Amino acid sequence: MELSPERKRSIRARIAPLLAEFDSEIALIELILDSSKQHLGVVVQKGEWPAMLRLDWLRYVSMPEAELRETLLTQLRAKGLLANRSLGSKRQS
Amino acid sequence: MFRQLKKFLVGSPLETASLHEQRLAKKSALAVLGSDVMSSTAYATEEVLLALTAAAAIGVILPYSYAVPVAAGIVGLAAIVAVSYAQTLYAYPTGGGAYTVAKENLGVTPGLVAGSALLIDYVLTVAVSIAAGIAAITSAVPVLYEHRVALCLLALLIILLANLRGVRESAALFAGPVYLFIFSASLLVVSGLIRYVTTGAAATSSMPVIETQSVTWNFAVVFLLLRAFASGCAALTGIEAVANGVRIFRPPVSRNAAITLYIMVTLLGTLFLGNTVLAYLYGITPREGETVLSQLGRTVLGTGPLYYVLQTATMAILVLAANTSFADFPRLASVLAQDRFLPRQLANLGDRLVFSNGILVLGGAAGLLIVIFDAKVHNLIPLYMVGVFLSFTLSQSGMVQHWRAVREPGAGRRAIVNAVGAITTGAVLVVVAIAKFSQGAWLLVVAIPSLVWLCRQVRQHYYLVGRELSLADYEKPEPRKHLAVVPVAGTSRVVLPAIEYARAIAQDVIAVTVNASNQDREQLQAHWHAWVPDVPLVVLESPYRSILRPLIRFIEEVDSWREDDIVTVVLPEFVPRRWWHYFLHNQTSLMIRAALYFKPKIVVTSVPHHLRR
Repeated sequence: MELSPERKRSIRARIAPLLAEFDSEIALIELILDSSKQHLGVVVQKGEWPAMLRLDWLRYVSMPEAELRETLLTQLRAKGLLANRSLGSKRQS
Repeated sequence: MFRQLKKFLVGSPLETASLHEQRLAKKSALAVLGSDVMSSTAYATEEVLLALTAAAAIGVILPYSYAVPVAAGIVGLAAIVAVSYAQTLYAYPTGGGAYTVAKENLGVTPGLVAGSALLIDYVLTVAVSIAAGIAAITSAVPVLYEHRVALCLLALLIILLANLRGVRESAALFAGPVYLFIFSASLLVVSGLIRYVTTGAAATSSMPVIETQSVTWNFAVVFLLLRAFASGCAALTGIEAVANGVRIFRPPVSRNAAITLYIMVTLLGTLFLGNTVLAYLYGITPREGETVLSQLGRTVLGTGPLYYVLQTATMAILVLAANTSFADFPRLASVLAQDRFLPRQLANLGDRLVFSNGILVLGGAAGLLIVIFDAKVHNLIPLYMVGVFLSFTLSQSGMVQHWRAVREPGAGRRAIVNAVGAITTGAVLVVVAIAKFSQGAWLLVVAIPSLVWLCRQVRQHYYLVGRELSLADYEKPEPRKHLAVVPVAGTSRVVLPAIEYARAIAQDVIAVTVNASNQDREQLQAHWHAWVPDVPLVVLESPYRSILRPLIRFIEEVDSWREDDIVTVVLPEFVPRRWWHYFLHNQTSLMIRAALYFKPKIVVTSVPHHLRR
């Protein structure tokens, strides 16, 4: 299901800076909401490797910044797009 | 184009209903199944004489006259095997090859041993007989010697294609040479005997000196005689062909097969014994550069046209000995495949109502042997006798068990006949194995168990697949969500129908494109949404210009996005009008399909667009 351009813009404005903070090479490619409106797919890419991060759409709206950050970090780490060392140094900073 | 070429080479497909029309009368069946046995009469006498000659190398002098009783013994053995196998034909009218008889009466492992031995034997027979036949040609025309491998492969291809065309056509094609050989070889024997009786052999030759020496009997002499006997037993290879190929006979199947078997063995005995007696009477001995049969032909028939007919027919029958294996290997392989010991494809009848896959496998394996051994496959000859006698012994032992189990009138007598067959062929097996062990028979000790193991692995695989596909304990899965991913290259008449199709089968559709040529993302998105506003387009970057790597990774990511998902990859494809147009386009769809083939849970389908020009 296609999100409206305005909705996409607002989500991008929230997630893209976080991704850039984790690793400037990670690009936010696309945002996809499923037909059940439960899952938000965040398509990111680093180099030639894409990944699809999963967010609970209903929770996303009211999700605190820290939780969103932790969710994205955990998934990026699990998918191997973020090295543990660089992740640690970023978090310390 | 491929279809036309196939039709030209192999012929039009035949209806299943016409299967019975493909069955053969005795005359044609003899040509198909008898060529192996008949061909061995061309060299069996020489094998015996060579074995007697070889004895001299270790200081034992054996008179050539011993060749006659040795040959008589082999003919007697052939008669025992024939009577024994005839009983099998009546007991197993639907096909009583060694595998079936041994499996049903002795157990699966003996059956597989017999089946494996025969399969290996058939491959060797094809390689050896074709190489031997081509060797006859290259002997006559030495300039062809360096092209022997190509000539062997050409001969193999001709026999293979003839067999792919169907049983009847191969019989019609090969009957001429087989009967020409039977005629010319019979003429040689009859003329030779008449000539000896009327004019004697003094004018042609004198007996070799060693003939006059006396023999001191000891273990070495007995062993060497047994080795000569074992060498001559090459004549028996092919007798089992009738029992294995019984299904090609017209009804009454058992009767026709048994009569053909008896005719075949009678011809074998007459020609083999006749040649051996003639060689003795005319003092013919093996010599470098000319076969015993050729010497006999020249001595008896002169160097006129009849001699050349004999030589040509001999060359033809040696090559065509391969045809018996082409008749039997695919049948045996189909029976093993039906029992799930070999791949199922070998059980299927092809367009021409023959087991085409088995024919191709046999042709490929024999061709490989010819290439590997550089068409010098004489070293393989000792191998295939062991396989044949192993299957003889197991088959006859199985028949003894069969008669004991059925307990019908006359079963006791029949059991005795088969027991005599089993004991005799078993004894010959031991002799052949010992005599030929150092010459390469040991290879079978590795090859047969390996094939048996392979058959068991194939069966185990089918068993596990069957168990996994079984509906026993099956629990109906919960309803799942369905997501379609459509890899696209922009928008076109190929892409939009694929999107519509994806929308029809899935609740969620994602289009994805790989921006390998570094186009403007915004422009790509804008163009896409102008045509498909409600389907998101994911534009993946590809810094190394690979289409597949980012795409496949993305599809894997989508697959793990929602745990209860089925993901279908819908490939928009266009189908060129002409086959050669394929070479003008990227085969990305094919590569995507190949890359996703082994990914569980991902369905791949394509929406074709047929180009009109």
